[in-house]
Amino acid sequence: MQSGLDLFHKNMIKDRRKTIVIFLVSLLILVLVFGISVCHRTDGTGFISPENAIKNILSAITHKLAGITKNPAGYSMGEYSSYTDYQETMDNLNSVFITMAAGGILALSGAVYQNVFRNPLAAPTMLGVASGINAGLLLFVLHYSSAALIMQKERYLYTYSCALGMLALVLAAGKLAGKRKFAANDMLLVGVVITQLVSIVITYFQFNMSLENLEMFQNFSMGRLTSITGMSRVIFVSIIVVGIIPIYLLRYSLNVISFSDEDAYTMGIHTGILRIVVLVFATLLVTASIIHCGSIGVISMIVPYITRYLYGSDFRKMFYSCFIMGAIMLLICRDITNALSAVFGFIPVGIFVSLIGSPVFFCMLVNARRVENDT
Amino acid sequence: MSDKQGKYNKLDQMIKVKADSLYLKEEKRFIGYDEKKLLSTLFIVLLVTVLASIFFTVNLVVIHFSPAGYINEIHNYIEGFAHLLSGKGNENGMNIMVCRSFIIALVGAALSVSGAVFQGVFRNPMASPGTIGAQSGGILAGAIYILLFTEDNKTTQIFNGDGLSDYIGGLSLLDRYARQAVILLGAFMTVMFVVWIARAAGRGKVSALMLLMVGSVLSAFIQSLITMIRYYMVMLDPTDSRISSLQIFMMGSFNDSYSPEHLLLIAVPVGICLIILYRMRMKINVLVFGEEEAKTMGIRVSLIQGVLIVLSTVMTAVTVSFCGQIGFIGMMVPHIARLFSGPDYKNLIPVSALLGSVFLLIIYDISSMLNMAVYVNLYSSLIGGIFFLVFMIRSRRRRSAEWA
Repeated sequence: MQSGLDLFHKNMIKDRRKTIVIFLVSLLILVLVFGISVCHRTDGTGFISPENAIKNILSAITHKLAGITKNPAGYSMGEYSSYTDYQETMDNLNSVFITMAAGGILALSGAVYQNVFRNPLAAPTMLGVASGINAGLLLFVLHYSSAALIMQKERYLYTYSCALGMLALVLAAGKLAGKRKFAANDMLLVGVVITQLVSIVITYFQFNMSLENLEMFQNFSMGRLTSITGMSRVIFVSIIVVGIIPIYLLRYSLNVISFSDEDAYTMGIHTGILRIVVLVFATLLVTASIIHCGSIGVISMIVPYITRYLYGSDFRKMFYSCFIMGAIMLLICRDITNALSAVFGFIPVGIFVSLIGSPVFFCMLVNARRVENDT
Repeated sequence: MSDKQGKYNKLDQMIKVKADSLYLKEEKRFIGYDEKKLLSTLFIVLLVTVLASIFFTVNLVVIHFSPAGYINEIHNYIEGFAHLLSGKGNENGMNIMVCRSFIIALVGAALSVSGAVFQGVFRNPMASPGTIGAQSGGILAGAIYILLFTEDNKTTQIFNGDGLSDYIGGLSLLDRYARQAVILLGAFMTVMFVVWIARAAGRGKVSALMLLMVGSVLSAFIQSLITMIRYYMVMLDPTDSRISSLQIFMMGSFNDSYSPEHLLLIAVPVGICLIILYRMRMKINVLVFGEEEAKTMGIRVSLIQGVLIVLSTVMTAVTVSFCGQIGFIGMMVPHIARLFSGPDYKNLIPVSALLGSVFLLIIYDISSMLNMAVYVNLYSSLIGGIFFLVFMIRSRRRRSAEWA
């Protein structure tokens, strides 16, 4: 008996050590990838040496601080090397940070969806948000046509309101169509139907659009024309904060949700409403990342797999580790697409992600089966 | 005392008579005495409706639905029909429209029957040729064909409004129908891939929800591929005529199927598949009970499932290769048909075939009345999708089959 307990303790300590080691290694990788991304020129034409990159960032920070403290001497203090200036450095930093955040929240919401549906194929875009965003963009482009390029506030207004409207529609229809109240699977079914419907209508309107509008619509939906300004940063960060706090607070309950309903009930957790609340906030996160970075939904299906493989399926660990892994993956994808864009012309990150990601995803699905059969 | 006894006896007798009559009624209902009559009238009504809507479609498109023109041209119509019957096809559009409306009827029947079969095999109200991935796979193959094997031709399009420029004389059958063959292959491979992945992810058995989700994930992936193809087409050359042909293909169009040859090429595979499916109706009925039950009843479940999936995929792929994507017919029509005929596949297959052809003919009429005969998919999806949602919401308690 005593020896068994000892063994248990030993194993537990070993497990914990292993987790800590993996965590540290992935943090290290994140720092490495972050460094590479910072050194990587945004136009993909090559690398800056790390020394120069640090120098550029420090000068940019002094510049910024000078702007804040209104100290005119600060503007001329910084030195920039290798053909970079303040604007380019800041843009690169901004886009690196936004990419990291987007990857992290995408992975997190994917993990939430997989936990709630207990299904490896549940993707956060299944509740109709992606087509809602596209519908919003379509309305926006049709309304403002050539003026759409400057109207950033209106774009966010249209896309967010259409995405949330779609979400509300799917939830309402799913609640009405379901046999019980707020059953998650009914939502999925209704979401698939409504998504198909809306995407066909969008195709119809694309058919009738003028060529300039069509080009603009495509560029918007690929995330090409999304520039990073102060306002978009504020919106993005505030939506992340709004979406992430409930998930953080509910991370213990999310472990219970992944059991069956009966088990959850006996543990005193009311799964029905909790599921919907968590799903809505996860969908909010995905919406934000798709609007600000283009269609990169596939990340949210792959990364939870990798995370679960490395850290186990405890959601308390998943919460942090998904963030790190998602940030790493999306940063790598961004760097590769930047490098490829310099050679082949513009390649949207979303296309690269879905081209590489989907085959990987299906391979992982097939492989996961094999592993489970062996053990 | 005896008086009371007599009263009781009388009451007993009355109850007995009533019970007997009730029992007889129940028995009659059980045997399906009334239902048979009802169903045969239903069949006749539906057949008449199909023929009438074919007649109506032909008239509508040839004469453009003007009452005066109708009276004037009815004579020409009969003449044209006689010409067609006697083998001397005249080129005033009559020939084309007769063939086309029969093709529409066949496509509607094929889509709705394959939807009904998919729903039975996977025991899921959402299963349809669209959600399993047959249609999107076909569209992807068509897009790749348009991108790689056709040239940007400013004067003629691959899919165009007239429907006549596709004709190239003096080529072999395979050359003329290379596009259709490619699309057929694409649709087939996609469905096989979806089933394989679902089986792999579901650890050996194909669960309905898994299949559905794999199908929708793969469809989304394919959609992104098509979007990418179109994106690069638009970016490279906005005046490329292949863009509009791709879009017409995605929106579903019957403008490309008009000759008796097309009719034959669609009718033969669809007809064979329909006949085989009708012969297998009892096996589908057993499969509906669930895999374990079907197994205990002595049915080779995986084999039968495979055969059914292959047959329905063949039908869907043929329709996609000729007419492009036509959504929601396969999802909506079986549900309506089940309201009329009950969940028994013996009745469900013919009823849904007839209903499907009526629906598609009506949808084609609507879309050509609005002078947009190339947007069949838009109207079928709008009508079908909204109907499906309303159906799901209204009949959640009293669906005729437990799973649908």
